[in-house]
Amino acid sequence: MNLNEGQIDVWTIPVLSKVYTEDYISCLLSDAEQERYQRFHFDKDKDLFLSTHIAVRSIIANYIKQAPASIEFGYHSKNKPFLKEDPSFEFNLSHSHKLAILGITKNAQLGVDIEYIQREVEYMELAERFFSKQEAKKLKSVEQGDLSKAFFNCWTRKEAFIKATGDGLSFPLDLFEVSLLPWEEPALLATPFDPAEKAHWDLAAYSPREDYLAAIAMRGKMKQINYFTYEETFKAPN
Amino acid sequence: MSTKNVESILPLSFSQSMLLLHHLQAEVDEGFLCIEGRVEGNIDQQAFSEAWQKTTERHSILRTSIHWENIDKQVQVTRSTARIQVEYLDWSAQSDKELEEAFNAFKKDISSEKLPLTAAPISKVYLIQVEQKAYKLIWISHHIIMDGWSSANILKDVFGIYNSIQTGESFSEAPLPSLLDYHSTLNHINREPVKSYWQNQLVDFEAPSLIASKGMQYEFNSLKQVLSKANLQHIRDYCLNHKITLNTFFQGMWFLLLSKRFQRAKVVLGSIVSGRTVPLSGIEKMAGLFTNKVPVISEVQSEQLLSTYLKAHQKEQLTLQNYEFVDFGEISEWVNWKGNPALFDTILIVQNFPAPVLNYDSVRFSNFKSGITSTYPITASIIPQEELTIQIKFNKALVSTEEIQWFMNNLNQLLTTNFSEEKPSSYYLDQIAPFQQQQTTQQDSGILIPFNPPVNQTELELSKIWQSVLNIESISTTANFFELGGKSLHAVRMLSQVQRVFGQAISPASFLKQPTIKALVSALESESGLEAWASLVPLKINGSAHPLYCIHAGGAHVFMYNTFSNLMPENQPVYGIQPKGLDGLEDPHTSIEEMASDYIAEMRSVQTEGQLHLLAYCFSTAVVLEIARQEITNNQPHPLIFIVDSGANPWYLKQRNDKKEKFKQVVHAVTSGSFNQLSRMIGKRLSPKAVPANDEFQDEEGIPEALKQALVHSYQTYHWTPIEGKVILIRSSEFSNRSDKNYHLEAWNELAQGGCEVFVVDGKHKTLFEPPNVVGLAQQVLSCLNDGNA
Repeated sequence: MNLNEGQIDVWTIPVLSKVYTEDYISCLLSDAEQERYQRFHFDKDKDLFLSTHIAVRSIIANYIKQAPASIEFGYHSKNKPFLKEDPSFEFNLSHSHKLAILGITKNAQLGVDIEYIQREVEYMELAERFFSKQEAKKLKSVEQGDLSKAFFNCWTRKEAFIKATGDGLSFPLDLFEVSLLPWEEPALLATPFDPAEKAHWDLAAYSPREDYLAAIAMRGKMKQINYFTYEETFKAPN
Repeated sequence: MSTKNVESILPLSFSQSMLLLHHLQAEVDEGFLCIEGRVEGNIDQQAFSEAWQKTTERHSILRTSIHWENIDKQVQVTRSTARIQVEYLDWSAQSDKELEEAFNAFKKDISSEKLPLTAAPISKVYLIQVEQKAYKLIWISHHIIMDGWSSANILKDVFGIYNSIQTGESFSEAPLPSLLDYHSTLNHINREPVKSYWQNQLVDFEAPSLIASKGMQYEFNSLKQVLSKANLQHIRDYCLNHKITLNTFFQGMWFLLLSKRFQRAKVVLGSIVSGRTVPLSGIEKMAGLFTNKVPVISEVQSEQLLSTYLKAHQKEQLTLQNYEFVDFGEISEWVNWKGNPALFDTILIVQNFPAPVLNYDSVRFSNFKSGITSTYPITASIIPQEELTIQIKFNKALVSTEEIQWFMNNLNQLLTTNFSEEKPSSYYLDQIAPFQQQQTTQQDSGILIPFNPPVNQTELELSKIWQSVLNIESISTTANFFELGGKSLHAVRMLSQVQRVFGQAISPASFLKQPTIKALVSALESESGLEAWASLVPLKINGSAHPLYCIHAGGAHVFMYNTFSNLMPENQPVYGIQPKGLDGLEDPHTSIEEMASDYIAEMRSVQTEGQLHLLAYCFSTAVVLEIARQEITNNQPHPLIFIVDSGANPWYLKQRNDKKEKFKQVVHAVTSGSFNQLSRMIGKRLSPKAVPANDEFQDEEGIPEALKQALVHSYQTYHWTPIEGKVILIRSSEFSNRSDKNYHLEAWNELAQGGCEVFVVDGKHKTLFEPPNVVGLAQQVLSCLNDGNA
């Protein structure tokens, strides 16, 4: 598979629960990954971690022509993984409920976020506490029926951005503004901490499946976005 | 109690008191002994019976009975005569398999009906013919009067006397000291130096623990290794060379292991000593309960040569002999230590004496089994005979198998070293691989391993928030939010709720640094809600229904209620109530009234209004009654009370008013003094003393002695009075079929003026809170709760 500058490949990964044996796991996860795997309290989170990480290796393997198990990941101080083989290869993973997505690009900071929007969330309370003033104001003006979608528009775009920077939740959510109204194009509207910054960023959004919303943020010009669905191509040995 | 022929009336030792308590409480008394052996020869029944009778005359313990009714304190009464019963059975026609089954059934059948402690001798002998000239000897007795050395001593006398009767040879043994002699000798020993010794040994000591989980189950497993004759000889030579005993050597080896395991120099193990190092001539031939569990402390100096260390330890062992007769209870009265309340988890026994094999012309005795088993968490037995056998018996419910394997493997390695070359202890310590703890995580299956429930109001509130956001049960306050499956959106939702409830904003960035409930508590600047509960243990937090409070049983730990609480519906919170003093640091309650009052205060801190829903099992029946009494006094609604398969002894209800004052005075006098004061109280007839009802009051090894004694004491001094309302009695199918448990019904009918509603669920008394029986129990409790609220 080829990756050109400005091209983003987005892979949708359906999460299935499967049972893998211990030695299979040790072949497929790096030491660092295994450590994280072990620390999850609940089996469901362990399973999720395992299946998404196996999928990530399989997918990336196609791009760098390497066996999935031999791919080596490095970790920046901010915990965002990169490919040791090729640091210019950018990727980011997100999961919610039964779907995960993996975004891949070259030479540009990339972040993705997917959310399952069928749940009860205190939209206004969260917006007022954590979003920027503008975003909260806009959300207030939205009609009841559109509130859920608008909230998640905002949330996924903000998440994608902070994941792209590598800061995650350490980055104060109220220090930047994204679009959220139903008719607005996905965009980074304001970056008060450095007004010139917003011009460097492109945002995209899509709905991988009914009741799911996803956003992509890239520090660079998005020239083309390709969407793929991952299907597990290998079977676990008995 | 008749005063005929009384030679002496003496108090019980601490160990005996604990055994008596267990006897009165437990459904299955672990103290009964089945002493066995093989007898060969042509046995003359009359002579054999006479031999036993003469032996009874010789040993005062066989003429001793235990009493606790109608007097204030428990005593052992020795008379000048007692008749021992010897029964002869002929099972020679049975096959080996039938014999084995029959013997097993025999052993299971021992109970206080067959062998009441109040009648001397507390022994019955059966000589069962299995072949033409061979018999199995089964002698049932009780640990309260007999330790392993003693039964061997008695059998030596029995067969010696039998032989002298048959052959005409004289049996010339000097008369033995009596129990009274032993007791006087013990009393005359000045306690001050003993107290100083133990205080010195334990001051500032922090005892580590090998116990992995809280629980009161017993599930024993054993690991065994046998080392060669040559190996054993090498060790014997080494000991001979350095003038140390095998006991010292093996203790030293175990200390090295403990030192490496806990990464510290000062370590402790438990040793069973004979308790016969008291200056009384003839004591080594006496029978009684003298054995003692003594802490042996050692400081491993790694630069010291091993032989120097062992020699120094040997010296300390000799000193210890002067102080080892003292009860563990007394030691815990003199000094407080930190950490492990039981002080040590391992008992090391070096079985250096051969079981008695007696070879006389007229009879031969062999295959002796003392019938005494250890219920300690870890019992390591080292048996040097032809080869060297090492056996480690452990309670799998408390200690992990890998822990024991570590000890076994490394002990093996140590013992197979070449000791000829002098090396420092560090050399041996380096050979031992450090212990790698398996990653412990809380699994969906509900097995609790290091898990911290909320200990105060604030932690409780935070747990409720986390549980609702993450949609999971049971959050440990030290668990990482993200490792529990939390994501960014969960985090902001949680923080938003925290702000709503506590009025303080905590940024995601700062939360990320340490995403645990404990850290949040520190970040929150609230001043209230931080006082840790002494007794309340949240088992299931969420739900808007009135919480169900499950009060500790005799074993004191509330984690027995975990499975039960997990079966409660989403809407039903469940709290455990554990006794103060379980951590060994705080002083326990000394009265049921005080206990109830404090429990009420804590329950009311999470439930300000409304009826309290209480569940009691075994010990806690007294507390629950008192809580009811106090709630009514405080103008609160009468609590809803569930009593699970327990009673209250109706004796105690027969107090007459005129005796109440006198009773109070005596109780005060007896309990405010030391154990030895009771001898002055003998002979006074007073109203029946409150002994805990026939429920389980297991002799829990993990519970501090101070707490055990306090629980016993508070039970003993409680005035049982009826309450206004009713109780719901849920019985096991096992007990409801036993006529000897009918007193449960009588007791509750008397104690609950509003009546006693009875339900029966399937199961045995001991397994009601375990699967599958616990399901039926939970369903019944729920059904009652729903009816009550309808």
